[in-house]
Amino acid sequence: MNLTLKTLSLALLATASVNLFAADAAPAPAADKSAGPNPAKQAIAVRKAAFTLIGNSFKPIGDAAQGKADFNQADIQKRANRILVLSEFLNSSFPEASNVGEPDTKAKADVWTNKAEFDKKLKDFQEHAATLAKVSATEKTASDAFKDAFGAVAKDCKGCHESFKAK
Amino acid sequence: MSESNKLNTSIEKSQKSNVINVWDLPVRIFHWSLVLLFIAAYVTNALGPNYFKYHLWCGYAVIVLVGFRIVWGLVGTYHARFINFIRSPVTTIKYAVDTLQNKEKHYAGHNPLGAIMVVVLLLTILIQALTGLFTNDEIINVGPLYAYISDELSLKLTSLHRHLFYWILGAVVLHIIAVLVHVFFKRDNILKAMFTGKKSATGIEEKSISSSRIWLAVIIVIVLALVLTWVVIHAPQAVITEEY
Repeated sequence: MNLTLKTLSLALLATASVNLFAADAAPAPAADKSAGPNPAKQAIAVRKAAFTLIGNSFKPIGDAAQGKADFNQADIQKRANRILVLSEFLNSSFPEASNVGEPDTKAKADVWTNKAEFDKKLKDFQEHAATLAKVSATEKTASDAFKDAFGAVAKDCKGCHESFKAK
Repeated sequence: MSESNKLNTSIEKSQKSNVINVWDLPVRIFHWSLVLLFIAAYVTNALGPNYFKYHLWCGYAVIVLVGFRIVWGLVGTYHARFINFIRSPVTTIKYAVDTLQNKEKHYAGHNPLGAIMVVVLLLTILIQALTGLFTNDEIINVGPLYAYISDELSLKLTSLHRHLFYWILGAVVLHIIAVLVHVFFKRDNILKAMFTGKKSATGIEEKSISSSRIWLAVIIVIVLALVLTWVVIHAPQAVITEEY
């Protein structure tokens, strides 16, 4: 588990810095680097990276839950654990300063104006992700318990997107 | 002289001779299944990504139904045909003005304002169902024709699919209000007519339909369903995420 976390953090950092460079690359004059990276940009890059990896990890679980792919317990469990760990990055990656709107971020201003609701939805997601990880540790098939646990997380994704993601 | 006498006596004799058939069975089945599917599509979306399969089925059925209604608007029974209920802008505006003063001309089929609603609802609901084929929920589900277009275009169509729903809902609310106005303020029970297909005629020129042409309707629905099935089955499978 620790190893997974470490690998993930590294992967996340790598993705985040790639994003940072990509964002800075175009019209980069002699920027002052002594102040450290721009915290807003960094937060945006971190959460985008987390969401990308959560999505990538979640898709194969969905395929198994919907019968489009075989149920491979080891694989499902690994991905569910990843999602749980990745979801923790979202706790601190929405600072006030990162409310800059599109095109830099699709996070709607409601994330900050309706913080209580956002935090609640994030907490629900983390709890359901924990349940999914727990269930995938024991279920040997694409059982109803597994499908329900998956469905709860999928619904959290959707619910939060509907309220807080610009579309 | 004897002709008009006959007519008068027959009107006096029985109310029944005054009743004409307006909506054929296929039109009525179309109308109420579309109502149910619209609700079912909303519910299956609200229930979450796990119910996507059923949401898709609703969409397929809507495409076939609306496709059928458009074809039926060309080859169907008298009052179902577009040419018999879509009026000129002048007639429509006159009707709108007259109806506010309660002195509008009565139509057996759709009135000119209702005609606009029919066209608006058919088109927007068709666009809604067709754009659904190309969507991407950015979670786990994509429409069956998603692989044909770019990710960017898919997200645009998804956005349209999300927003258009509220416009359709607005049109539906307006449609229901108009129906209720007819039923309660104009004493014209067009709601009942959409169940029975019958209306009391207010003028002798109004046409009663003699048959529902059910077999023609069934054939149109089967052909449309086969075409849609073929298109969906032959669409390439989208790979959304690489395995990492």
